[in-house]
Amino acid sequence: MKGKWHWIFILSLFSLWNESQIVWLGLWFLLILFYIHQRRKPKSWLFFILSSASILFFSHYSSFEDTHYEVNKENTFIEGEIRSNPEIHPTHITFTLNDSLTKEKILINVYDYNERYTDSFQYGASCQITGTLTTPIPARNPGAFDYQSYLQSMGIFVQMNVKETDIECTGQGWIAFPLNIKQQILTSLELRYESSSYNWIKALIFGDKSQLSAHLITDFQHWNLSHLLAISGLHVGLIILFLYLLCTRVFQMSVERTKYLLLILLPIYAILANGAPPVLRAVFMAEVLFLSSLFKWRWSLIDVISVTGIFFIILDPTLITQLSFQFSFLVTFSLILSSKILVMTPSFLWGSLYVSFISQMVLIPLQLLHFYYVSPLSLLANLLFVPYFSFIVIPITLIAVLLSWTPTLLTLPIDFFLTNIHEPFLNTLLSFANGQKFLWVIGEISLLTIGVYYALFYVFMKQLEGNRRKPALVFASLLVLLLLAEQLKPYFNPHGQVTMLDVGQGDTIVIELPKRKGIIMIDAAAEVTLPFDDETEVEENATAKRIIQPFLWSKGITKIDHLIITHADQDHAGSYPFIMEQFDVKNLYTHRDMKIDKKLSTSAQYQPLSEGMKLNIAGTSFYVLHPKQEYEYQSENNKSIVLLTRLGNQSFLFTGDIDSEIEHKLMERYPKLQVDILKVAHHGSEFSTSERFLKSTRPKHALISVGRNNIYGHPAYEAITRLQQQQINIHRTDKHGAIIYIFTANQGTFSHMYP
Amino acid sequence: MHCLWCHNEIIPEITWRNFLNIFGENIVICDSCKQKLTCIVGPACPRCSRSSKNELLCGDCKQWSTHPTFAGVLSKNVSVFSYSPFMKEIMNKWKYRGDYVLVNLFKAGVQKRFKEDFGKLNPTLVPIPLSATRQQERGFNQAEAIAQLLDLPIDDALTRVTNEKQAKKSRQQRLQSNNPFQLKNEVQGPILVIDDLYTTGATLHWAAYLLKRGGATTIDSFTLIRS
Repeated sequence: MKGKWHWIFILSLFSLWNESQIVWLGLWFLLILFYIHQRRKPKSWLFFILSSASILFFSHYSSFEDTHYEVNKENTFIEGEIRSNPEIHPTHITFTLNDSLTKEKILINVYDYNERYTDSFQYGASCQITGTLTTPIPARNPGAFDYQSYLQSMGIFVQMNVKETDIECTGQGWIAFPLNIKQQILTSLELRYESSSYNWIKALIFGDKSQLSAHLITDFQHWNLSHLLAISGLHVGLIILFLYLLCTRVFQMSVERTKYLLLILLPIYAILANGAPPVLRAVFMAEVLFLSSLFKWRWSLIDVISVTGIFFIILDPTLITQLSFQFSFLVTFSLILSSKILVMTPSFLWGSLYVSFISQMVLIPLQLLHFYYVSPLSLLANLLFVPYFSFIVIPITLIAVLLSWTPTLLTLPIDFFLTNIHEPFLNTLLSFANGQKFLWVIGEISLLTIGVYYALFYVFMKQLEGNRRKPALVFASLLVLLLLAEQLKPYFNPHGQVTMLDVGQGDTIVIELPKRKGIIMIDAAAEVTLPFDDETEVEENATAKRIIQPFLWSKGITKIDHLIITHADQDHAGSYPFIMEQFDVKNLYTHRDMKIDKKLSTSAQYQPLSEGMKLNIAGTSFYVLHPKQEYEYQSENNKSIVLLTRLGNQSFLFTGDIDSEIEHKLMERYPKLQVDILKVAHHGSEFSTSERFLKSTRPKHALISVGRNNIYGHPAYEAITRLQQQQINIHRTDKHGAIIYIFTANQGTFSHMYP
Repeated sequence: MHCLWCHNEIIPEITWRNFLNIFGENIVICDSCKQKLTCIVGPACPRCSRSSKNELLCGDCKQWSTHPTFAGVLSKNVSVFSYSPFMKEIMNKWKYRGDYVLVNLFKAGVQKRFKEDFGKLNPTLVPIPLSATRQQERGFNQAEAIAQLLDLPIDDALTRVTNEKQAKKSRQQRLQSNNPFQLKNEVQGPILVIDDLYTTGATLHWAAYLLKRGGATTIDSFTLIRS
């Protein structure tokens, strides 16, 4: 069986993940028949028995079912145990609860909590709660982070938001003990060090990067350096190395004793470091390797990681859908497979270059699936930052923890380094090199492309291992071509798309013409009320960063040919500075009264629009029906640019925030105006969308972009009634999420994010 | 799996090359033994595989190629391994103490070298025979065992008439003795003569001499070891 466990692991993953198990079992059966026919090595029967058994076992082991609970029922009573380290936010405390009856995991948010009682929320405490179970909100926009499937990937299907008075917890589990010690260590470190030093220590040693600046985290992500901020196998390896050297060299302990000591210390560290999958993986592997060397078992590394993986998915099958688990195992696996390549490298520098290269190549499909871009220059960044963190920052933060009980004099230099050298150094470097400028945005990739990528990658690595440079180069080029083809796919797509994003209370509409002939964006809303449930802290440009940018990137869009801001209100124009900065905007249009920041429009052609103008974009005309050039309008809303166009042989009217006064003026000016699809003005306000206007223009579909539970009471009951009376199909972002209209030359169809 | 020679357990090294190989590889020799089994690499005499500083014809081969009887009968000899104390130990156990299965130690090396030098030739293999009494003593013919590692037709075209051990003779004696072989049957096409050792080359040249007369177009020899 030695050297074959990776097969068992791969088969287990497939059986867990895959839905058509019969097909796999059938294929497996055929393979066994083939094997009997070949009869090469009778000893491998054990392998076939084990692998077949694992297919059968894991096919039925899956826990990705639905919830057993009745959701949205009031006064549901639940009794269970806290199974996570409670996270304390300014407004609420979050933890997962294991129902002692059904064994199901539930996410609990406790609001309005009193500082004095937070102590009762401990890992392992038993709680009794009464409240209403709800389903977490799924993604409301294409390309956006899906909170529901994120929770589902951890086996959580329902959540409960309660006040502190509805919950009572007592006791604690054994794991609360080390967690309490951790809290005490953290508190003493916080007192000891400057806050910025403390934040780095907390991130690098205790696996909590929440207090590092969001800007820095994003920059690190863009340079593919995130693995340095989260505790990864690299950190664990370094910490082991450091402690090993400390024990054997400084304290003169025997190697054997040191190994036993580390065997005990590592699991404790895993708990202190938040127990994320990469930490657990690294610690588990290190434990197996220490045990093997103590008891003289001989294993191949690939078997060690495979057995580790099998052990993990038996404990928690939901792990396989977690990003950190996937990243960690994929990288470790491919590095172990590359051992021969790495041994061949002529120097340490080349070796670390290869490590970075292989890790990033193997992660590209996953990276694209979740973030839609790759960072071609990240290899350089890794070459600089990995040694810097490995040999300077991480050892220093570790020493900072170990020396925290000694006189202040000893730790002063550390504090000085972290706060006054390290942090400014990073900030200066990152401000010079804006990672986002170097990103290669490709967009969402298909499962087929992922398959082809990994097949090519496998052959490429094989050539590299055989030191066949030319074929290796050919396959490397094919890999790049594949990504390029994926990026160019929209240019061959005969379908165009209009997407009205659910940006909460506001408007953002993206029009992609067929074959990527043009990208037109009407309005760029910023947050007025947030459409997010998962948190209450509002970050700057949240709507742009979390909704508009992911959507555009998922489509592989980095260039916006025409950005039209209908009027200057926050819910229509708020994100446009961000969009202008982060995207390549070719043309910008507003009404003539809107002030444009000159700094922003250096690269874009700016033009104010008024009635009678026509934009001709790749054969599609956009007629400007409003506002009139010389006329003064009272309200900002009534200055809104009104656009008429034809997409998929249907006429579209984009109305901004005009009220019925302007609607009637439009009727006077264009008595023959017929509209198939109407973007309802002003989020469905009662003062827009008059009966006369509807009767005259006769729309078939009405699109309303409106925030859920907004404070303005939009859409107004009156407006909805008027639309219903005319028997118009209503599409609402508050109910349906993003609204998508896919069209060809002759026709178009609507679909919703929520069916 | 255990090493055929030192009996230590072999831990297979799984890399990109073999990780999709579901049947696993048949590894018979561990890495440390494999390293001691020295293949002939680098500059060597192009005619007899003897290691040297350059790629020039060695002194012996100059003699062979101008010899009145043997000139032109044997095109070239290719050997897989060089002779080392470690190799001597293996040969002892394999040949003289009859541990037949040890031939598998050479399998990968022999097959690889054959593919490199004779892969396109498609020859008939003629192993150097043992005399009947010696075959009786040893239980197997080492040359035949080597030939069987290659998946090609084997023709036992030669028989040995004398019973003298080459190993007991000096170079001079070897060169002066009479042809120890007889041709059993006619041969045709390219012939590859197989033996375990190439020392002076006398045996192989005698064999080649007979085979040439027996109808072979070209004759090369492929030997396990060049001493």
